Amino acid sequence: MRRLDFTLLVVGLIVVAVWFCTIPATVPASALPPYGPNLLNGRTMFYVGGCISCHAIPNDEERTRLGGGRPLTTEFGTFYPPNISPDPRDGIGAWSEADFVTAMWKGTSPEGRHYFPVFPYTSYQRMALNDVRDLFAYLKTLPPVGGRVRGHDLPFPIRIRRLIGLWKLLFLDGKPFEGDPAQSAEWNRGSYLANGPGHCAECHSPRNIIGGIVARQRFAGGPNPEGEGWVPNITAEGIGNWSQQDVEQVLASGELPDGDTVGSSMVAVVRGTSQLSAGDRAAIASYIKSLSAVQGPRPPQDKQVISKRSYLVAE
Amino acid sequence: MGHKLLIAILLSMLGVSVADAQTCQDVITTRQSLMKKSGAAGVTATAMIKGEIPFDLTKARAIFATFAEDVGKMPNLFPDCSKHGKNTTAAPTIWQYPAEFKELIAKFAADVKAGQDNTKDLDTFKASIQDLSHDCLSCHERFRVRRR
Repeated sequence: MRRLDFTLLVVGLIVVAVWFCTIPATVPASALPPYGPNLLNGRTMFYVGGCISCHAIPNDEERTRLGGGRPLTTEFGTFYPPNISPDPRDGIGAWSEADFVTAMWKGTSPEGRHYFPVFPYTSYQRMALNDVRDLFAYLKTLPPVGGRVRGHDLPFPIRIRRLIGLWKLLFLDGKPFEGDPAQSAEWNRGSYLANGPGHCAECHSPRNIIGGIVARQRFAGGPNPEGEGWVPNITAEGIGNWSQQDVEQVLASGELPDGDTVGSSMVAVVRGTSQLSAGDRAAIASYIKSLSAVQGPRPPQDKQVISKRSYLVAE
Repeated sequence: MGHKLLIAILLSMLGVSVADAQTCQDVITTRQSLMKKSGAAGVTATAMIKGEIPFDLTKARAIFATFAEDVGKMPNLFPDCSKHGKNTTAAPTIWQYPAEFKELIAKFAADVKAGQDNTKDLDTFKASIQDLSHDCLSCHERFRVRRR
């Protein structure tokens, strides 16, 4: 009996410890000093942040109606991005500034629940406070859209939000952006935009079995987290023969140096980066071009030319 | 006699199927080389717009002619049997949403025609190329999948 008591005690302690470790973190309103937001900077954050990519209404001509709903099919299940238009009932119109900063930095909703990291707060946590506040002010200027999006379609146990608290212990370090004083101001601006609001590494890196970015292969490409295909390596291993101007061109118009264009979800990214200043695009390009060569995972061999024999069998 | 006839028919069907399989793989090669040619034409167009090479109406017309050839053949370059092979980057969505795919091809064709009709100088050329560039992106967004 004493042995059973001991086991129960240990299990109980673990449950309590997990409970405490997974309490969703928040940013209190008292942490926000008085501030007058800069809408022009908010617009920059909006377009580099790629909000539209996930939160625009699918197939809607008006891309700034952020009613959400575009399904994101991942290996963990299908996510349906919520309405983040300024509608007070269905969007973020009734949110406080602290609610928004909490969502962006801590990945916690106003109701105090964990967001799934498909919302790239692991990158957004690096954003400067004023940039987040400017973005919030800018989002409030967009058209309100009514209607809530359906819930995510996730299997057990992935759908247990509380477990995201454990995931955050591993992958959400809470650190602000750290520049490199040895590099130029342009490079630092580019590193901030790419690693913070731009969240480039979220797709351009391989992920481990629980969906965390493999740090040593950051930017080295990997399987498309949103489904079929491959996201290219953007370290020197992948684009070493491009010039900085080539990268700027990609961000401005989606044209690749060989006359091909970007595709899939990068098209929506380019719709955003095309709205940035040429200076910000040059900064991002300068940073990306500085990434030293890292070998990423190898893409699977394409289906070979189907042999005549297998073709006939298939027919 | 009946048996021989049956075998002959079967053999000929087999022959046809083998030929089809070959054609289907050839069609992938054809669309890949057309895309490469259009890409190269696009590089020239961008160079002219950026002023890296001088604007030349004859060259501009040749660029549109390349696009026109590409888009003219496009509707017949995606038979069901060409979903795989030859490192194709054609996305399965082409066969899942054929109406939308055809619509984008039609838009590209219309914009190429407009470019041929409207291009008189660098400014009109630039406007047409920008429309075409958006067409490339919209189609690659939905119907092309990267494999590496």
